[in-house]
Amino acid sequence: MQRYFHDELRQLRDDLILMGERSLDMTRMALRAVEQGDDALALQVRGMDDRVDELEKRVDREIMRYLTLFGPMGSDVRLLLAARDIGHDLERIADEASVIAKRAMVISERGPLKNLLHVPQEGIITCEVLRLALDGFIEGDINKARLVLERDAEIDDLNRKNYDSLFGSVGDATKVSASHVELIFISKALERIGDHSKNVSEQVIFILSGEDIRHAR
Amino acid sequence: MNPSASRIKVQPATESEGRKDYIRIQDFGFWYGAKKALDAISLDVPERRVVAFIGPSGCGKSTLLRNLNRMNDLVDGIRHEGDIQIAGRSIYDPGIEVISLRRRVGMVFQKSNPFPKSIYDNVVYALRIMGVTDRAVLDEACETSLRKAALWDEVKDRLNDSALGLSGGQMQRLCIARAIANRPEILLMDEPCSALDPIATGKIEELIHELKAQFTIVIVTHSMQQAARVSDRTAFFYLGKLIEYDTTEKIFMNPSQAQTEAYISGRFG
Repeated sequence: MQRYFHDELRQLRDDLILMGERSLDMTRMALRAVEQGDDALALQVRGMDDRVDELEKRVDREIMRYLTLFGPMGSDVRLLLAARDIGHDLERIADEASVIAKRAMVISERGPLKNLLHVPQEGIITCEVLRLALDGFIEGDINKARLVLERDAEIDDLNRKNYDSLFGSVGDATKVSASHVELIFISKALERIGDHSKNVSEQVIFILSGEDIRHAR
Repeated sequence: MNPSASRIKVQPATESEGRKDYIRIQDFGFWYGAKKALDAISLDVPERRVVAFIGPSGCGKSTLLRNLNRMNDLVDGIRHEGDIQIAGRSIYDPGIEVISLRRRVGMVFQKSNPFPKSIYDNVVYALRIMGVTDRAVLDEACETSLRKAALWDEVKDRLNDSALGLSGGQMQRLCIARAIANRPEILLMDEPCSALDPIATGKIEELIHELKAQFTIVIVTHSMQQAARVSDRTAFFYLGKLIEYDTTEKIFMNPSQAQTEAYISGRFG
C-alpha cells in the first residue's frame, strides 16, 4: 500500500539527485574554467556552492522529519541512513569543484598554462565516474555502483602521475612553476571527488542490498 | 510541572498557517463530580487540519474530545468553566441545540459500533432520523459517504448485507461514512484504530489524510506514531493539564517542555 507520506521519501530522493546534478555541473564547469582560463565561469562555480550547502541542510531536515514522524522500516530505513552520507559526500564534491574553480582563477592570473599535465584526462574520467555514481543512485543499479568502485582507481592513478611528472623520478622539481603546483591541487581535488563518488556508490549498494562494504580491502 | 503549562497557546493558526481557528478552547476546566479532569485548557484548532491529543491514560484527552460535541452532558454530576467555541460561537450558548451541535460535530469511537442493520441503512440512518425519505437523495448520500470513507468499492455490491458481517477495519470505515453522511464540519475520533490491524489502521490513516481536505479533525490516540503520521498539530496532556501544543513536527522533533520530551521518548514515569 502506497502511503501519503511516501511522497516525502520521493522528495528526499529528488533533492539528493538535484544535489548530485549540481555538483557534477560545478565540476564540469570548474574544469572548463581551468582549461579555458575562464574567470567568469570559475566565479559562477563558486557562487553555486551555497545552493548545494542549502540542499544538504534541507536533506538533513527531511531525513530527521521522516525518521521522527513516519516510523520507517526496511529499505526505507536504509535509504534514510544512506541519504545522510550521500548528501554529505555530494556537498563535499561541490566544495572540491569550488576549490578547482578557485585554483583556476589563480592560474589564470599568472597567465596561460600550456601543459596541463594529465588533469584534462583526469577531469573527464572523474566526471564519468561521478555520472556513473549518480546514475547508480537514480536508477537503483547496483552494477553501476560497483563499476564506480573499480573506476575510482583510474583517477587515483592519474593523480599519482600528475604528482610524479613534477616531483617524482620523471619530473624536474627545479622547473616546477607556481601554476603547476596549483594543478597538483586541482588533481588532488579531482581525486577527492572520485573518493566521494565511491562513497556514494557504497551507500547505493547498502540501500539496494543491505551490504555494508565500507572500509573493505 | 510548569504551573502555566495549561495556558500555553501557540501562535494563532490564522497567522501561522493561513487558516482560521475553527475550534477555540478557552480556559476550559471540567469536573466529574468533585474530581477535576481538565484544568484551564486553552488551544485553537485550525479549520481543515488534523489535531492529535496525546498523553497517558487519565490525562484528560478523551474528556476534552467528548466536550467538543457535549457528549459529556450525558454524564451525571459534571460541570465546566471556561468556553469552547466552534466557528466563533460558544457551544454552550443557550441558543445552541445539542442535537444540532452533534450533527455538526461527528464522532467516531474506539470500538466500531455499526447498528445491526444493513450497510445502506447504517449510512443513511441519521438522514432518515432527520426526515429524509427521498430514495434518490439517500442513495446519493450513501454512495458519496462510502466513497469518502474509501469503502464504496468494497461494499457497493452488497449494500443490503448486514453491517455486522464486515471486517473490523471495514466496520470502522462504515462508522466514518455514517458520520460523514450527516455532513458534519468537524470529525472527532477517539482511538479509531486501537482495535485494528496494521493494514486496516493504514487505511484509516490514509482516510484521515484525505478527509482533512473537507473536515476539521481532532483525534485522540495512544499511539504516538499515529499522532506523528496523521496530525498537523499535537497537544500533549498530563493530569488534566495541557503541557504543550504545537506543530506535530515541533512536538516530536524538538518539544519545548521536558515532560513532552520524556513522554515521546518513552522516559516518562
